[in-house]
Amino acid sequence: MNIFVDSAGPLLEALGTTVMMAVIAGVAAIALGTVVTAARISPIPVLRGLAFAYVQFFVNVPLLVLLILAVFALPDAGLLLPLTPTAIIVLALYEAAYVAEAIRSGVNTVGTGQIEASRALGFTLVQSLRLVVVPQALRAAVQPIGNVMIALTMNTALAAAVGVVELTSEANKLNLVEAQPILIFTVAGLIYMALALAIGLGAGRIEKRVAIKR
Amino acid sequence: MPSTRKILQRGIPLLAITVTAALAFSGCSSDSSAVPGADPSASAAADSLSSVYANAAVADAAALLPDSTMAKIKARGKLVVAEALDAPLLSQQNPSSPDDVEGFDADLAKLLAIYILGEPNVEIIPPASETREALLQNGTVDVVFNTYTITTQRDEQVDFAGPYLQSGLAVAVKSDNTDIQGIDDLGGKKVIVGANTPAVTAVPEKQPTAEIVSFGTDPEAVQALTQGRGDAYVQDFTLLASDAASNPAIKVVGQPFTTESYGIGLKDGDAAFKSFINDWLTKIEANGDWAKVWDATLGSAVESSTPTPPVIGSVPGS
Repeated sequence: MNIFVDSAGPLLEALGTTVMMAVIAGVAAIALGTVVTAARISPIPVLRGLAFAYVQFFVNVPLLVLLILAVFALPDAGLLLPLTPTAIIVLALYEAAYVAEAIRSGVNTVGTGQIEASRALGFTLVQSLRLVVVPQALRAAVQPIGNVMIALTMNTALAAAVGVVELTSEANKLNLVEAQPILIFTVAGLIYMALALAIGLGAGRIEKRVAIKR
Repeated sequence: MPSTRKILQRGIPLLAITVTAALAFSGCSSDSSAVPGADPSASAAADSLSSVYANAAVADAAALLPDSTMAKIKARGKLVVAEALDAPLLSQQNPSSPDDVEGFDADLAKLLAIYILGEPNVEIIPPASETREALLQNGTVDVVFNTYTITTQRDEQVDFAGPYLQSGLAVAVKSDNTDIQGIDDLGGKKVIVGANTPAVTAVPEKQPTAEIVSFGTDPEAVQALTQGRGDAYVQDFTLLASDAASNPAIKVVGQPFTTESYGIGLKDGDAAFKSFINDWLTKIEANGDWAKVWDATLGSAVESSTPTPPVIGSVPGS
């Protein structure tokens, strides 16, 4: 196991990059996903169409394609961002589509009677979404959103293909010298597994705390 | 406007499919899992080698020792080789005839297949560089032809025949860059390298302050250099020479600053197979086939004359 002790510094730094990408992209994806869902269930046809198009686009185009497009095609259009921010933005946009679908499933748990009641009480559209529908939808969708966050964390590995030095890329580099792929990638896999487990357990705890007792 | 929405609903997935398909064809050739063996007579570059194939050496039946790896390959009827599909001049799928894989590594692999089988029957498993040792250890492939640099650490995991080629890393920059004249000027600079190439470790050894950015394939790295994602691109000098020849936006500066000895990767501990392949290398080097293959592939990108093949067993680990 000496090879991991000797390269602990770069490995931990790379793990830090992975966690940082997952956290920033995760928070952004939840925020953006909520907005997309709100647009998707709003009575305004243009907003509904845009949200539908957004979700369909990002669910149907592979993440690697989006990453390569963003890293290699955008500079030709005159937009050159550093690699890690580019990867985080693409991850957030991509996973927001999945978050939106998860929250939309939560929206269906909110009874139509409640929406009718909020209208009867004179709530505007934004008020009834913000005060009645979204809070309940989010609570019902905690575990599905947790699954999307796990997928997002695993998907950060794809950033290695566009030059971001995160866990997978560092494991590659280590293997290039040590030539022990099975050992090195098993350890990398175990680290990803631990991250997934932490997110899963965290989501479970949050769900228990925010659940609506009916 | 319900009609607009319907068109939109139909149009968006179609757009997504189009974009995906375009990308899949342009960039991701290395993702395919396996391609069938190549027909060497099918392509233009191979035409100049067809006489080499026709007259290629075939091993004596006595050399295929009973129960040896080479006898098993002969019984199977095909040689399973780990080689790239996207390495220009070394091992690249011909864009106009994708069944045909050409280059120095690919052509030597075909010659080895002829030596064992009597015909160039090669099955290609594209290795991610990170899985070469595993592919050999679990018997998925017979040999690795993949610009596989011989190192003592790797020799603990696998065996190497050869070296069959010596090369070195060089520096490429954008054509309008006059500050960087070679590896010595890369301190503190952003340096692009190919992921899983020797440059990943060689550049920090020479220039510890350089910041390394790695990309999966050579075309991506060249694109990144021309788009200004790094100050320089460090890669095998033959490959850089061919990139610079086809792309006026970049140029090669200075001389190669390392010596890489490429070996043929074999399963660890198979001494009979290793000496069999070394015998074959000695034969093709002596009869001029090695030089003909070099001239038709790597030699087409550089102006220097045909090099002398490295001495077999000359580097630690081989």
